[in-house]
Amino acid sequence: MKLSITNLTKTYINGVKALDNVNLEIGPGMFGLLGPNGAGKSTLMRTIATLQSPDSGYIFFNDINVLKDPIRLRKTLGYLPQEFGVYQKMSAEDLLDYFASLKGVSSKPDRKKLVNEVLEITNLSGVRNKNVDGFSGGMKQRFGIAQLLLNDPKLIIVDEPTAGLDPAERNRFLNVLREIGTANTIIFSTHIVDDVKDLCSELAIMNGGKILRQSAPSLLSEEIKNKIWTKNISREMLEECEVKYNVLSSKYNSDNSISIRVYSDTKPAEDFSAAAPQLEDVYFIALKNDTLTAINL
Amino acid sequence: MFKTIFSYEIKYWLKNPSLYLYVASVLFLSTGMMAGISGAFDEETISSGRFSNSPMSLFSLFSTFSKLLLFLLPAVVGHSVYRDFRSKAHSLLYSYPFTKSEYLAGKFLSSFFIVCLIALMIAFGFIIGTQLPGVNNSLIVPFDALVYLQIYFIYLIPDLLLCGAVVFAVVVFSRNIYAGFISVIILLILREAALKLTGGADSGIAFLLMDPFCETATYFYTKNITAAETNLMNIPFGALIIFNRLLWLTVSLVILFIVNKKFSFSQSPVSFKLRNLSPERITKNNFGSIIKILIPKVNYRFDFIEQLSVVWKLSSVNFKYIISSGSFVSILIAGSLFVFIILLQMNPQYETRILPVTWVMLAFPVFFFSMLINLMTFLYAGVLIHRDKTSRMNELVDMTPVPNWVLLLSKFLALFKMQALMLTIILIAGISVQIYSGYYNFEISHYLFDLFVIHLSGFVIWTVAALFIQTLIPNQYLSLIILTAAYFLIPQLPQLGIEKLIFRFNQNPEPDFYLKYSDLSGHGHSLIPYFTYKVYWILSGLCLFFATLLAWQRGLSNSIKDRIVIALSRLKGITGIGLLGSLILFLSAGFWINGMDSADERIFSDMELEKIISESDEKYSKYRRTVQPRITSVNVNMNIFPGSLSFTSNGVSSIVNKSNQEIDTLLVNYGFNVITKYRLNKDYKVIKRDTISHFDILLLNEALNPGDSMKLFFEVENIPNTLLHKNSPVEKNGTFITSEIFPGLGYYSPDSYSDVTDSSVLNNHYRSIDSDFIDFEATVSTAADQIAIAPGYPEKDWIENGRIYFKYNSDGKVTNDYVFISGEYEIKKDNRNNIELEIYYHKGHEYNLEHLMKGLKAGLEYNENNFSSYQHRQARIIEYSRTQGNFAMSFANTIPCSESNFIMDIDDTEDGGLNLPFLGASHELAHQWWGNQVIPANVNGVRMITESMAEYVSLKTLEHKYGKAKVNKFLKKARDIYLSKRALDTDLEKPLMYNEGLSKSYIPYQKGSIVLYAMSEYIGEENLNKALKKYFEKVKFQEAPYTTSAEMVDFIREATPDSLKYLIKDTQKKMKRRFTERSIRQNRYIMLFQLLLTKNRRQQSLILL
Repeated sequence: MKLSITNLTKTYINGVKALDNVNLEIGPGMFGLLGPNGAGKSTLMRTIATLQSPDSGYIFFNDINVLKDPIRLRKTLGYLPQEFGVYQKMSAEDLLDYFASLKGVSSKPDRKKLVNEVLEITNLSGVRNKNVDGFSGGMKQRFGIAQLLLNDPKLIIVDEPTAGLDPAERNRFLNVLREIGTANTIIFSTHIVDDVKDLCSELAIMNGGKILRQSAPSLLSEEIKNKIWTKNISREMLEECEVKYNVLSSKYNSDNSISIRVYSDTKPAEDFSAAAPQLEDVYFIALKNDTLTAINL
Repeated sequence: MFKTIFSYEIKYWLKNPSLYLYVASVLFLSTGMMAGISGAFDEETISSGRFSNSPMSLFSLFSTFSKLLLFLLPAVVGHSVYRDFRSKAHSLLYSYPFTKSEYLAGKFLSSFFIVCLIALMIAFGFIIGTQLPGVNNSLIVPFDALVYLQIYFIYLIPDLLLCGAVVFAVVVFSRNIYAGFISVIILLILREAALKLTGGADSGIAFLLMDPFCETATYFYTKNITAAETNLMNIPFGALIIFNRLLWLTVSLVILFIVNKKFSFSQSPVSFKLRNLSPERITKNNFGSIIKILIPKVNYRFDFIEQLSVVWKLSSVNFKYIISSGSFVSILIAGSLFVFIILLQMNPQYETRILPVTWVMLAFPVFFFSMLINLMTFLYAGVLIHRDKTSRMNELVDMTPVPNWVLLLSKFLALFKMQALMLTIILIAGISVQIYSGYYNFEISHYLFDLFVIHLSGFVIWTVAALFIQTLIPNQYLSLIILTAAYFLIPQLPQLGIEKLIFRFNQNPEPDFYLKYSDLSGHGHSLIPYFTYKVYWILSGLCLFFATLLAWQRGLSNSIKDRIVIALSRLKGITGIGLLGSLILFLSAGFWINGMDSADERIFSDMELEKIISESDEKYSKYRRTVQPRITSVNVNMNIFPGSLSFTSNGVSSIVNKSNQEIDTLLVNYGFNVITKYRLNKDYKVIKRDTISHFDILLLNEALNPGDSMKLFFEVENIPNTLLHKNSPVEKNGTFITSEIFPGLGYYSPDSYSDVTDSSVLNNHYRSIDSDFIDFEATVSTAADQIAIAPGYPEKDWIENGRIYFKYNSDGKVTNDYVFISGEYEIKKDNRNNIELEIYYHKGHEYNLEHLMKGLKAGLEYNENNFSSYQHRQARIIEYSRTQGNFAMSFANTIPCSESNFIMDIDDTEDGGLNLPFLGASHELAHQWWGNQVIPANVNGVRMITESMAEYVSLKTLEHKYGKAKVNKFLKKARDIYLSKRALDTDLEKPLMYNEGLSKSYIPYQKGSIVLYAMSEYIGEENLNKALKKYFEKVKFQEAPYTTSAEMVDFIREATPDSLKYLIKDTQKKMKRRFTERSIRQNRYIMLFQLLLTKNRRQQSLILL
């Protein structure tokens, strides 16, 4: 099971290059697509999900030429967009039944069986007769998962699914994804590093339409082992430090001091202490390098 | 702050291209409309004599236009607030530093200002329209700004304000621009329903105030004016109008006030809950658990059959969505109410109702419902096409493996179900009204065929067009307006010179053929051309369906360039083949139909005939007085074939030179719309053969001496019927053919009545120009299950080769005009003083037989008692198919009568309407005296002797049978018809005794009945009838010179005492046009006074119901 993306490029009519020669090979398991807002994640995902056509490039899922034969991909595709609405005044059960029809389940008993099961999985059985347009964010997101499961998809694309979920919902949501992800390919975009950390077997960092890094999360952390340093400074010193050191991130502590994280092969100064590398650091390094390259260009 | 919002909104609109589209289309339409009625496009326009931009013309044009403008209100006034809801800006607006009043006032007034701006274009258009080259300047009056100001400030702007307020309120509270559109439709329906319920300008003052557009109040003031007055008078202005305007202005302001009061920036639209759900506390459980996911194994199938079941499933969801939307439900309720009202309020002339037979139930609501169904289709096509996107579910749907055609077909099917549901309303309304009226002959299959085969096949074609436009154009409301405009404008295409049906989308060869349904002959041949064209347009629909697939939006919004690329890439496989295939089919069907249509021989339409005849008249009217021999006997064989809708006939006329000079030139006229062959038993040369005018001039080798005779042999048959054209007058059942089809002698001028200038014009009587009296013999054959009838007495009948033959003989002198009728008849027989009375009727049409029979008897009795004995041994009424007309005619002992006179709902109580079958039978029977015994010369005033007398007799029989109350009803109606018809007539009105022209029948009929009845009241019925009897005895069965109305009036004058002699002058004198303001005003007071006196009780009780 392999999704391969070759030289994918897309420029919007307003001149924004959303995909810039993207190349990716994605195997089974969960694949995290990490990047800031506007990095081109959604464009990439929508393109894989056959909702948008690129200017050039190829996408293959196993032997399916996705751009030439979208219908065939759609049969094994599950997609949850970043944001979606539903028909008004339709219950979860009716809507899922509707989607099951769209996905080719023509027998009514089959649909019923299927809908019951996905309602159960997403813990929506209790509200099956409630209108989906009245659902809370978390419930709606679970509904999104439910509709996605209906065709027993092999390729699953979820675009920033955890935004706006409370911790419990988020946890539950990720568990379900993980559960499906063992046998299938799941592409999962987020700008929250924590989402990716434990779940994904592999990740890519994306910005400005380009893939900056692609690797297993643990390997990436391994790369920067012993290269992350931290120090508490006062607010006034921040600008100075930013000039002096390769500051990856900075955040306020409760006492109004600022803790900065610095990337350096050696200890930058005596008052720095070593810090355990985090995936977040990899992310910031990648983005920072990309920005520097862009400026140098 | 108000100023900021206002100017911001105005700027928004000025930058919005749709405004310019609206302005341009209104300007275009109004210019075109004015230019059109002023004769700019059509030289042939027979001058109506109506000024196209007189104040009253402008008023009625503006009334029409303002209705169209109403549909722009949602697009402008509704859009101004809807925009904020759609972009969810309203939740932000909450936090801005202005009050809701400022917000609402800014929004409403700015958009209303824009609407007024668009409305102003109508005036510009009209002004430009009068100035275009080619307009007929005699129809144009000078521009008068005051008239426009009056229309704008008294009618148009207040109307727009009211509807604008309603639309604004609806959109503000429903947050739905389509609800605004629906509210306009409902407003119009309710107004129409109210008009129907109360009978328009006839009803009480309260109602005149109730019309939100003040049109009834205005027309109330102009109700009985003449055509000349219509051209000259200003738009009336009176107390009723002021009150009406004040009332509705107040209503508008109250609505706006309520909007202001109730509006809040809160986020959810007003909704109504049918039941209160008990609140429940929802808590979450099952946190953080891990569950096993096992999707059950089911079949995912994508073959064609399975896809069709998906289509059905999806369409049901969409259909449910449509029918559960408030807009649809309210339209359905308003529409159903309206249908019930029109079905219960069918009030033709004389307030006599037609029985609620099925075709009546179908005919009345269909026009209105067709419009409603199409508008709903246009609207919901957009709603369904854009539904996924509107509810932001499009990405979820678009990524499923369902093919585009399944989605498209499911939306088509949903609309189809919606149309079927709306048509079912007509079915239910029809049957309910039938039950309510106690009519239990339910013809379900007739309902189903008309509604679901004839009409639905037309609607589906519009459905595909609507889906196509709505898919192609991303802006729903723009598409809706384009579709609506197309729907209303396509029927006008012939006026722009596009007459070929293959170029007029979804139009029918006979637009209203289904209204001519006959219980005897059904829809007849009309169904064939109808469905031929429907198949052709369904093929175009198929093309559009595939084209829609090309334009179908799947995935995220694409630029136009992208969409073209995608469309081209889809042009392969089944879609490509389908499009190409259906296009080829469509085009070849078009070529085939066009080829057939242009090659087909066909009969002339009434319009074409009128033109041919008037052109012929220029060439040949000089032959009007040419002395010709006279026909003295006719013997015809007529073979009617109801199966193939055709006939053949042949016959011979004997011709005698009754003049005292030699005749060597024979003028032969022969029937239009049939194939005629003729020959003489003498040698002759053809000098002129005019196959267009159907008029030949023959030179006899040997002149016909005075007293000599010869024979004219003729064969006449129908022009063969073709697929698209029925050229024969024969019907499946209830055929009715008159002797007009046979050749005759002399030149017959179309409007051949003339004033008495010299004695020669008195030599011809009005029934035929080539004979005095004839011996008539006919053999008529028809299908074995029918009865064929011609004037005269049946001599024998026999069956030969599976056909039945009837031989008739006049057994005495009759006039040279006759008729052939054939149908499957039941016969009702009766007799009076050895005179056989028979009614040949269609089985099932027994409703009015008693009344018809009573009418015959009463007519017989009155005429025999007062004038003279009946000349025949028999009188027959024969029913014929209403497809051929709604009239009755009187031939020797034979009265063909349309089936419409057999299905009246008669109420002989004092409150009931007039007994039309009774009146009709006695009127037609009276013609056996007045028209068949007394046969006046073919000069002006002839119909005072025939029609006025027949009306007088039937009115008298009514009086003797039913009393004075019914007579008053008769006279009141006669007066109303006279006044309203007179208002349409631009010629100077001639007095009754010199009445002329077939188009002015309101003079001999309505005015004649009033005049003669008035005379009988003044000088006494007995005295009048004595004078008439004297006259009758003098002139009955006379040979040339024939009598005139002047002679009849002389007899009446003689019986009139000197003190009343002025009446003759008064009642018969020339009607002078009254142009003066004073007389108009007087007229009005009289009408108002009468209105107050004759309040219609029945209608009032209906309002209370």
